[in-house]
Amino acid sequence: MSNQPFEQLAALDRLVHEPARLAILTALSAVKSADFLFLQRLTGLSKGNLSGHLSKLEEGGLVVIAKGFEGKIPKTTISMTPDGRKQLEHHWNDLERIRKEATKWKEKKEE
Amino acid sequence: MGFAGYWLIGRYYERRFGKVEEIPYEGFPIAGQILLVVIGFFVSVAIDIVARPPVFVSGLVVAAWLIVTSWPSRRIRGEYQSIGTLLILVSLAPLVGVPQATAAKTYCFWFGFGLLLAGVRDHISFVRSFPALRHLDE
Repeated sequence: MSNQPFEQLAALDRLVHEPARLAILTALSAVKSADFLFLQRLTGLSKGNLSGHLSKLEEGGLVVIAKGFEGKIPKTTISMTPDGRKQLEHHWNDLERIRKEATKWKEKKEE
Repeated sequence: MGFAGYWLIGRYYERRFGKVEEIPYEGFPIAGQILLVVIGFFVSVAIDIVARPPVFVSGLVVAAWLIVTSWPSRRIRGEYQSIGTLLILVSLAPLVGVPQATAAKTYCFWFGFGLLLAGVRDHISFVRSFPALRHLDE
């Protein structure tokens, strides 16, 4: 019996696959850009955790972080790079494909 | 006052939930859509005043605008479709003998009250989509 779905699961890009980062990227994929507060509210992450995940995503070239001021208030705006959008779409496609293969694997095992 | 209220509500949501910039819309320009609606509304009001037809043409235009603009999100915000349909029926009510004044009052009530209810429902589902806030609100 092929262990293909398990090998593929193990080979998933962890930069994208980590749940908090996948949530951040999925949220960002639906908009042109979002501010730090929006992502914090949506994901429920603490400031420190969100900041850490965003730094990793920025280092990986998946997002761009722009820091500025709106009046006297600091404002951090995050947007996905074109490469980030491609990688996220690729990742979701991979997950869908692996799920189908895992279902087939399970059905064969039960036969 | 309406515009000031709209601005204040916008500021409240921005400060509490953060801000996003939408992906640019690629269809018919938004400014063009607004212009068409404004022109359509004033023309229909003029028709109501000058020609005095047996139905509220301006009411039909506003109801149609409500239905058309909420169409893309009809599965999650079906109440706007219901309000629009109700307003169409009220606009046509004078055809079956309902006095114009009664129909006009009914229209204004359901337009205001309906949008208020829909707004409250929008707010509740919006807040529920934020896990962190749901936790804070509980």
